[in-house]
Amino acid sequence: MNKSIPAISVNSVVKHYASNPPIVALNNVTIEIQDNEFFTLLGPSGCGKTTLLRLIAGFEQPTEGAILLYGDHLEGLDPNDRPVNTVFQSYSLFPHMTIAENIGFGLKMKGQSSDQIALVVRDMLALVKMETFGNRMPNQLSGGQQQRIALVRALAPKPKVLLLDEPLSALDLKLRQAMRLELKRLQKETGITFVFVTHDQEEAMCMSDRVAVMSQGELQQLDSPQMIYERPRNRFVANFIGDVNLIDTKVSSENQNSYVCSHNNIEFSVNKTSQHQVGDQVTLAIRPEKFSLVSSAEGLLKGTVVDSTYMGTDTYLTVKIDDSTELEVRCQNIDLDQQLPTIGETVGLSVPNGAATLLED
Amino acid sequence: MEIKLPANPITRRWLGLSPALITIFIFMVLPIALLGVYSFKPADSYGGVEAGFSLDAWIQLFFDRDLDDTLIFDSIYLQIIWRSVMLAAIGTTLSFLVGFPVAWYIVQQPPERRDILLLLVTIPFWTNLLIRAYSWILILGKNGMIEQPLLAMGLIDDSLEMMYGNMAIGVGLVYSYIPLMILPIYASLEKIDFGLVEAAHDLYADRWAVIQRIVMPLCLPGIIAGCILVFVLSLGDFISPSILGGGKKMMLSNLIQFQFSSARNWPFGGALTMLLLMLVAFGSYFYIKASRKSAYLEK
Ligand SMILES: Nc1ncnc2c1ncn2[C@@H]1O[C@H](COP(=O)(O)OP(=O)(O)OP(=O)(O)O)[C@@H](O)[C@H]1O
Ligand SMILES: [Mg+2]
Repeated sequence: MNKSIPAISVNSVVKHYASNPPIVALNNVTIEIQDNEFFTLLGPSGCGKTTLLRLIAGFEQPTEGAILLYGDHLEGLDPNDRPVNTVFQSYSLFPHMTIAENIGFGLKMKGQSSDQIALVVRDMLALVKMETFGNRMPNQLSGGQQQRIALVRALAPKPKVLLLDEPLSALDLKLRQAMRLELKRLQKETGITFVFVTHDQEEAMCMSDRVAVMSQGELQQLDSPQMIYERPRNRFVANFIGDVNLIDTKVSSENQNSYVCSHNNIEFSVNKTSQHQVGDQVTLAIRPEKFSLVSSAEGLLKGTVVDSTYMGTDTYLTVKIDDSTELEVRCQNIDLDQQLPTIGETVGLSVPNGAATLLED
Repeated sequence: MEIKLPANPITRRWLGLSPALITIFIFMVLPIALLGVYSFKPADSYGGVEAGFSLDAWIQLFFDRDLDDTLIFDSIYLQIIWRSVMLAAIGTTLSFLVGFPVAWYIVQQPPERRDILLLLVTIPFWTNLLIRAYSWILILGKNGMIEQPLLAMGLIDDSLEMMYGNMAIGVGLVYSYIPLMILPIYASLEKIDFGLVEAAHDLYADRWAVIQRIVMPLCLPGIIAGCILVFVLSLGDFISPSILGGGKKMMLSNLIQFQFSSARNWPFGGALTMLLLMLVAFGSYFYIKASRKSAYLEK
């Protein structure tokens, strides 16, 4: 495998489902997934994540566009001819086979000898620390155990790419968190390219090398988790991932690589991440934890605390800076003696350089 | 008005079931038991039975009575039974080979289409059994719908003799009972999670392997039900053998019918019926056991 060729190239793919009028599940999506990458498709329900996975796996055919696997066109190949395996959301373990037979199924279909299969099955069970479960039937396993078996069943034939469709969504929180780490570890250990689907932003953040954020069948942003969080491209991404303050401003001046945007005479300097003219109405995004509290005389912004909620790790303050704008501000609770402003108090807020992001829309 | 129900939950359950139990008893258990009793009575030469006890009917199944009253083993009835069982088995196998793909095809259609197709499957049930059998004569018979065009085109120059033999009986059986194969198989196919089929495909199973390793084992209950229904009804069918088989070869069902009509030998008819019943009961039992076992061993 040539490492420089993308593991998966999704080229201008359009997918319509037959209906009247047709349902547009994917609208001109172009994505390149690199070899050995933990890649995540993130988006709300119905945005087309499963559809994209099914196109890659071969269960659906694109209406337009092409999908390539390490440079080879996948068009016309049935799912059983694609070196790609899927971990299904509902696990889909074969109920009439033992766990060992489930894991060995792919290899058996590939024509491997039963000795070889037995070895791989043993390794796979060890990989998820379930060595003693080989002879059980799927209905004798807990949800988390079934999930792990579904995972190694798909890994056993050593696919070039592993597709995972919300594999953790049926698990409780504790198990889900444990499985995140385990998935990440498995990906690194096996070196297989993972394409992971989720609608849980936290999951996407903590596991992925890169994240593609989708909405209504369109790609919104493709970046590292950090960039997705720190530099959201548009309102959708900014709102979907984490909490955000959106401030309406007007571009008041421009220099080589930044704009000055003003809101009620308050001026923010922001990087030119998108093209605008002086005088344009633009939206700035600032994450609530970027602000720091200062005396009312100092800060860039000045406002009145209208609400304060203690949340354990943080205290959430709502600060009204003018009649139309309330900002959410997050202060970390570092020690008990910390003096936080009370409701009604006037505070100053400072915003570090680069904390504000200019959105495209 | 207040009805007092028995306090004991078990008594209560039986009470609730009693209408069904009484119906089953009167219409199924009683007639069969009566036949069983008849088989141990001496025959009345005008039909019916005489009082007393006699093993004659059962002896007649296996032995012929010589002039001097010695018993000679006679396999003629056993041959008829064997022939009937074989024909029913072949009919069942053919029904399965045709019925399973049809059921699998129907289950993959969109829902509205499925309903129509299922309705079409039941068409053989819409007309009388006799008429259906006779219509096959028009198709398979001399100068029938199959032979005529072939003769006209010169592809054959003599009758194919498709009628009045095992082949015609087989066709008749398959045609008559295939809905009873398709419907139970369809019912259990419908319950299969299609995600499992996709998962198998994803794990490099081709179409055939998916059917063999996933679909068939999972719809085994439907297959068993369909096979038993078709087998039992084929074994008991006397219309196909007598009309399509031309009555040339006696089948178990014809034989039984004959005992109660022309031959007026009710005890022997009863014995034959009990034998048929035992065959079916044991056959089904071992068939179910064997197929369950193979389904779990095969994998
Ligand atoms: N087989 C289908 N026929 C018709 N429309 C479909 C079909 N499958 C999906 N859709 C539609 O396509 C759109 C995208 O669906 P998809 O299943 O890809 O969403 P998703 O992002 O996976 O959502 P979720 O997070 O809920 O699983 C939805 O509007 C859905 O209604
Ligand atoms: Mg989905």
